[in-house]
This record gives sequence, structure tokens and C-alpha cells, in this order.
Amino acid sequence: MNTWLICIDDTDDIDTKGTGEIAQEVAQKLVDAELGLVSPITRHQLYIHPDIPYTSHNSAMCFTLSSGSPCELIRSIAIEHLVAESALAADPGLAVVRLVDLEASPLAKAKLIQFGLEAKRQVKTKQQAYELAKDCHVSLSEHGGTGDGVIGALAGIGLRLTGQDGRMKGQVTLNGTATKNLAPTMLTVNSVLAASNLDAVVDIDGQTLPPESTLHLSGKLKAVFQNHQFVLPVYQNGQLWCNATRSQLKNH
Amino acid sequence: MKRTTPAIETWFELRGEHWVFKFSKHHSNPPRMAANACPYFMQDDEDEMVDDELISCLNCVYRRWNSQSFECVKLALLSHQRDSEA
Repeated sequence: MNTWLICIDDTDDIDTKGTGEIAQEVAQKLVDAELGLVSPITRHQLYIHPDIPYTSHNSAMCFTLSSGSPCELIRSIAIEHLVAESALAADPGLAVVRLVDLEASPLAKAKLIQFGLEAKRQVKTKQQAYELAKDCHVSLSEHGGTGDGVIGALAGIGLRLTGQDGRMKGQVTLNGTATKNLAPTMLTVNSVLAASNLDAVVDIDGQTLPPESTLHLSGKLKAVFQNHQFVLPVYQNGQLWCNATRSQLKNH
Repeated sequence: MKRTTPAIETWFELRGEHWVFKFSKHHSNPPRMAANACPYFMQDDEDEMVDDELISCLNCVYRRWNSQSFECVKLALLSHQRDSEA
């Protein structure tokens, strides 16, 4: 059994299905094909600069797949869906890498992380992305348009590897139900962790709350990726710990 | 709040072919006021929304971020259509 990191970028346009939704569908296709289990998807914001053409948001979407299947089978399922569902004006890219290859090559892992971090503040090129992918055991491919999405797809891999970047796509589920419009509810940290796929509840500064802490939750619960874990950020409002608002999470 | 046809120039300025928001993306009131006055507001994918108030240009599918603020691609599209018809 291997853990694969899979990342896509630049698949959407105005009024078309978003990259996050397409990533979710790719993940579901892999599960439906009985290739293995997938993790939640992380959304990674990339650099906004006039020299970087982007169709919608310039964010990459990444998830893991635990699978005994070969890379080519995983890629073929992902590519088939990307080609079918990406917007006509999009420039989709796909990156796939096996984690064990990066564990065996710390330098390759470090280079990918550096590329990801730089892609948040510098303009990168396709050539740089392809050269790095070749050096770092990453299968990198483009599937339409200019193919510039390979840059973001590779950067998304690097950012996921940092363990410190991105928001979790969608809402946290409690007992299997998405928290789209949660009525105000008081729950302990322990009970939230037991009812969700979260690893921890943290304050805005990233400090972990004790299990017995009581939370006042409402609306949509959004998680972020921190210390290689999916965590629920909360903030103190008087005596209450409340789930973080959209504006508090915008820099993740 | 009643939504009316916007005085576009109150909020946006035309730079080349781009309708650029005049105010910082870090201040929430101007984008909320602009969106409340805009008949084209359409909420973005939930994962892309960053303002706590739903009706805000910061949550609109037609905003495209730039380094300082954002531009409105819907206004650009409408300008282009008007130019084509003229």
C-alpha cells in the first residue's frame, strides 16, 4: 500500500465547475474504481501577479490516495475526468507523486516544498516545473490550453508537503452531516473530534485546545491544514470559543 | 438593503480593459456596499468566499484578485459586449 499525493490546478473558468469540485470528483472516481481511500482536499492559494494568467482563483487542490495501484492507473482515471470536465478556456495540470519516494529522497522533498513556497510569491515557469518534477519523482502532465496548470499542480504538491498551508475544501462534517448552516451548538473539543474527521481544535494562534474545552459552534465549520493535520480554528468571543469566520481564515 | 443599478464609477475605475476596484481588498465595507448596489452579484464557490457578509464583491464569482485589490470581470464583459454592438 502506498500513499500518493495528487494535485490539480487551472481547470475552471467563470461560470464553470470549480477546481475544487473537479478535485472532489476525481477523488470520488478513484474511490469508485476501488483504488483506495482518499483524504480531504486542501486548497492552496498561489501568487496573484499580472504575469500569471489565471482563469478563476489561482488556487491548487491537493489530496492523498492510499492505494496499492500503479501510478499509471491512478493517472489515467484522473486525466480522463480532467479532460472531460475542465473548462474550455482552462489550462489544466496534474501532478502525482508517491510519498515513499520523497521520504527516500529528502532533497527532492525539500525542493518541492521550496517550489511551492516560492510559487506563492514569485512567477514560476512551466519549464521550471517540468525540470523539478523530473528530478523529484513527480508525474507531471498538462491536459489542455497552455498547460500552465502544471505549475500550480506541482506547487500544490509542495505546499501540501509543508503541512502548514491551505484550507480544507468544503465544510467539516459532524456525525456524517456537513455543517452548512449549523444551529448554535455547545460541544466539547472531545465530542467534536469524535464526530468529525478533524485532528484537533486550535485557537487563532495555532495553539491546541484541551479536550474538555467547550466550543460554541454555528454556521459553517471550516478547517485548515496545520502541522500535517486537519484542524478547526476557533477564536475567543468573551468567554466562548467560537468557530473562526471566513475573514479570519482568508490567509490560509 | 435594496439592490439598484450601480453607479459603477463609484466603486470601479476602468484601466485599459479592466474594471479595477478603487478600494483596498482589506477593508470589507466598500466591497459590501458595491455588491449591495450591483445587479450582477453572484456568489462564488463556498471555498473561495472570504467575507463574513454574503453579499460582498469579495464573495462574488466575477471578482478576480490582483495584488492590491480585485477587478470585476462581469463589468469588463459587459463593456466588451457594448463595444461590439456599437
